[in-house]
Amino acid sequence: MNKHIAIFEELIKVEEQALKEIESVQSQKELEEIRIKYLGKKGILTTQFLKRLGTLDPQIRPEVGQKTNVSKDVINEQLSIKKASLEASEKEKLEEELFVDISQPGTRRRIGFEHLLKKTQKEIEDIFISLGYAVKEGPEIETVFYNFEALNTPDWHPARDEHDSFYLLENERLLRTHTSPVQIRTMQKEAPPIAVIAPGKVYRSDYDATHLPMFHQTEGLFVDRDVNVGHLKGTLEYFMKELFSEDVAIRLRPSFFPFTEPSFEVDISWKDKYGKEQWLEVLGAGMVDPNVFLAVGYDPEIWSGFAFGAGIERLTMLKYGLTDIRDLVRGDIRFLRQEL
Amino acid sequence: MLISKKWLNKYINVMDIEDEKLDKMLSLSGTSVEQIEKPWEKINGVYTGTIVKIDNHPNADKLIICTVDTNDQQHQIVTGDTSLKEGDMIPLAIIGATLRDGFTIKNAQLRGIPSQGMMCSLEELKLESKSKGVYRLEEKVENGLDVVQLFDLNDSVFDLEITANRPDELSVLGVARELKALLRSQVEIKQPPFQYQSSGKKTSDFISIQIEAPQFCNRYTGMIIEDVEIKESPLWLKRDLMAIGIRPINNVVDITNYILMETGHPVHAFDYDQLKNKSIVVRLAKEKERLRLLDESEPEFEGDELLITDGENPLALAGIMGGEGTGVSEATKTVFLEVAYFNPVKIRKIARRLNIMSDSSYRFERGVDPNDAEYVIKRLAYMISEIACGHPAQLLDVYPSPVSEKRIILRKTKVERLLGIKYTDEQIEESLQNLGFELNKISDTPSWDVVCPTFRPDIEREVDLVEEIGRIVGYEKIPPSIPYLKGISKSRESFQSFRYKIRELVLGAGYHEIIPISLIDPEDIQRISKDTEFLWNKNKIEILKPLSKDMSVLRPSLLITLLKTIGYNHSHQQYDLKLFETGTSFLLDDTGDFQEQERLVMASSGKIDPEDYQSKKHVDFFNFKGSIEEILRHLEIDNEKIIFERPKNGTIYTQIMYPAQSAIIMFNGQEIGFFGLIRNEILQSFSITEGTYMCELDLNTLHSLQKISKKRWRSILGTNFPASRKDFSVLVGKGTEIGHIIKKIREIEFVENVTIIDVYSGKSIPKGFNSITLSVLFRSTDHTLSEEELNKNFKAVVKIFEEENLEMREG
Repeated sequence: MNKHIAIFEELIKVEEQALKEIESVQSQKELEEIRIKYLGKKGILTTQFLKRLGTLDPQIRPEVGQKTNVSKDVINEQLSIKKASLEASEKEKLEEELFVDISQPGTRRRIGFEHLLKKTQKEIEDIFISLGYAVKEGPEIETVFYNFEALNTPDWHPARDEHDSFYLLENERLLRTHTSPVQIRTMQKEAPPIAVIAPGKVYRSDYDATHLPMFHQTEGLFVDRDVNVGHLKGTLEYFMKELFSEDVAIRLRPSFFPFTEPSFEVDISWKDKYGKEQWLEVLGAGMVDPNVFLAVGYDPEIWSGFAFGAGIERLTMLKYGLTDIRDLVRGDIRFLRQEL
Repeated sequence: MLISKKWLNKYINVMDIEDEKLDKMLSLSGTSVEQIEKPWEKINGVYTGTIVKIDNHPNADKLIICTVDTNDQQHQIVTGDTSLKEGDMIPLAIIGATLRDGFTIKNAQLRGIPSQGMMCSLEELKLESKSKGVYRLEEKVENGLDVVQLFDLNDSVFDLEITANRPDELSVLGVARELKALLRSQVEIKQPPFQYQSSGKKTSDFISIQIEAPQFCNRYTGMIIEDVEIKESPLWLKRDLMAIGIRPINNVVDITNYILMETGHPVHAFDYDQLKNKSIVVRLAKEKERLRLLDESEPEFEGDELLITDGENPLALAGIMGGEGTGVSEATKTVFLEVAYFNPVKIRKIARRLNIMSDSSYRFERGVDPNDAEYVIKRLAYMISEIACGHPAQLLDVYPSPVSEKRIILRKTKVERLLGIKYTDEQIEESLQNLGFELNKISDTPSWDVVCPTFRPDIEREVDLVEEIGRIVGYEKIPPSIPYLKGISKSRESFQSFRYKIRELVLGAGYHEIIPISLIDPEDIQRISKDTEFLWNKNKIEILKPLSKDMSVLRPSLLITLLKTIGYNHSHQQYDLKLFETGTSFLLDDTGDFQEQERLVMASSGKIDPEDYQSKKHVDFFNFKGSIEEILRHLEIDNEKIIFERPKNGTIYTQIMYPAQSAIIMFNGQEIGFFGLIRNEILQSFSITEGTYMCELDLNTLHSLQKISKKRWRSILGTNFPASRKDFSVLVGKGTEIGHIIKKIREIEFVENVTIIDVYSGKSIPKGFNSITLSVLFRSTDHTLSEEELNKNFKAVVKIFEEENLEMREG
């Protein structure tokens, strides 16, 4: 009987030992080791109790078997309780480990900033492409013919004064003072109807707070039968509304350019913060002068058209609220990245 | 051009119209108003007063004490103008008054005697530029009248920008005419008087006029005026001139200036007694002839300048400026007046060449009215006889071939087709008639025969008349509409799209776009090389008349402006830059012709990723090269054909970059660009303080290659078969190009890719060598490679190393 009691006591000890070990375990790995140690195929409960049943007194076999299974259940239950608790604390630990200060700036790899002028230029191109225009370019060094003569501005014309030109070869070659020569080059190559815009660099001998000796212009030209001032107005109104906002209105102010007749300065308006209407000059435009058509061999009795020239710097400055035109050419990284 | 509202009001009633309304009306019809000034705005508290008593100053001989009566009050004034007399009427600035520059009059003590105000000179009232003493009124008026009212000082002066095609508006009368059309007013313009009392003498008895250059001088009208009294102009004349910033000189000179501004026709007055030959000959200058002008310059003539001479010696540069010594002075007794018409192109060319601009040349070169000469000279005679007591003789007019009025047929259909709106016949007729045109309706057709006044030389064609109607009736009513042309041509040319694409790639690689001014200092080129034979020095393109030396040459390369931009940033303590530009550079070719080339340039200096605090790597050759390679990979060109060649010493490349770290990028034997480390001495000369790598790509060549050598895109045929990777480490020293080795390995059968996974130098590696680990990926597209096949290929790789004498290291 003592012997019998001994095996039960042993079982209790083993169970107690197992529960104690489970209690003190720190990781799931150790817990699994304990499971194997006690409950595995080669575990203590299996080898020392269940597998020994055959050697025991047949009278106590059922009881030993039953009690061993109860111990197994108890250990199993404790194992799963412990497992759940370990899982929870490990999750918590992971969270702890992962925690970062999300306000700390990222380790950025810079992406370049497009220059504002090019951004505006592309936007203008896209506005006109949506109206069916083609984008044309021309050389920056021009002949006097393309820059002036074909544009109805002969040598003696006082309008040439306003174009303070940079000549490279006296009375022959110069840096173009506007992108209008592209009009002529296009019309010489193509038959009407024509719808083109010509963005690019232009040069004038002028340098102060509001003028650069090199700046950008977009020329526009539309030639077809029966083109009238209303078309010019509608197109420029669309252009300005697309570029700025729906609130913008335009007005045509008569002016003079040798290559257009009638000619206009175009103002745009918006309501300032006090609700007062302000007008700002943004571009020059007009109906193509018959002499320009004659210079390229178009019959002005059949064809009519409008043309305009807009300074991209001015439009950019208005659009983005810039105050110093020189910011656009200095290449200051603080300006380019807007880190000021 | 400045226009005084009070002066303008002499010809058309405008005082009732608010300045703002006039501004808008003029601006919206083509006469831009730059600003509106009120020149006498500050003057306040000045009243007429009579000196009733003069006492000597007890403490000073040069001062007197005047008692001035301003009707309501008597003021004790101490003054230094001892020529004042009792009974003189003067303008008195009382205590608290402000004068021309906002100067305030306060109670004062002069040598112990209190002075309660100031008696004003015309200078203090801004009616003269220099005064001798206190102004005495020309006529007695009531005491205590406000001088601002009395002298017409409550004026507004409009600064008008008159476009080059409108010489007729360069005058007060011209602006009045314009306003009449805009106001659609039935009021006629009040024509200033010109009916003078002639002495009956003939100008031709005094002087002869001969035009030897009729192609440049259509008309010359002259008149002698005897017995002129040269003195100061009356106050109203001074006021009118001062309002628009013209300094009064003496009555005759002031009148000629006045008439120029009133009529827009420049006139000249000679002192008859100073004309030695008593004859006027208009002729072209002789070569090397000289004339000392009123501005004290003495140009030497080339031989085709138009001169007014006395038959021998030049007297004036026709239409531009008078000569010294023959002008009107205080001693002048007899005046010879000139009203002429000179050819605009001729005057413009001469004025431009001699670089002289005057109010006179400004008008002649835009075109004055040849047919108003008689009126203008009569108006002059009238004013001189009224103001300077002169006795005018009968005028002498030489006008061999009179200019007649142009006639233009105006079709209503043309007006409406071009302006895009319907007009009534009345609108068309009224607009043009108010501007001085004469319209004769052509019966049964909606058109007119229009007679154009000779003061409008800009009106030559039907379209010019259309513009006049448009601007006078107003453009605001024209309905806007958007024309649309579809499918005429491609929206962007292929090159433009290519440029945008490569820009996107460079932006993505972290480079910021700059647009510097293409004009540079020739010294900027010399910072790279002082050698005059250096291409950029030798073939640079210079601007003939530059604004300044630092913008006198067109950049021969975008690298120069890029270096300048980096230097600018570095000198502002801004480092770690990645910048790029697409733009044009300029050089003369071998034949001396101007060449423009479009390039893309990039530069990287300092840290690669300044905002990456985990990796503080600085740019190096391989990092920079990698960016370029990656950009090129994204273009539609076959990258297999790109090779990098080390530039040879003595070339433009090695002038700029160290050959040790630079490369020319070649494609099929064609150069597409170059890059490398910029030489320290160049960096220093541009104030660049960090090592800088730069790259230049030829956009046109790249674009054309993209057309002819398209990249082939491959499908993933059978790559599901497993790949085998094998790493090889070799010692690579100077003299071996790893790129070449990689290329050879790639040619081995089943090699899919070769990549460098490690470059190591240091411990256990011999000096001058790198241990490079290549990872080679083998794969067949149609079966799993057998052990045998793999071994064969490994051996092939090893064989390449052996052929190149490379020692392998144990990986």
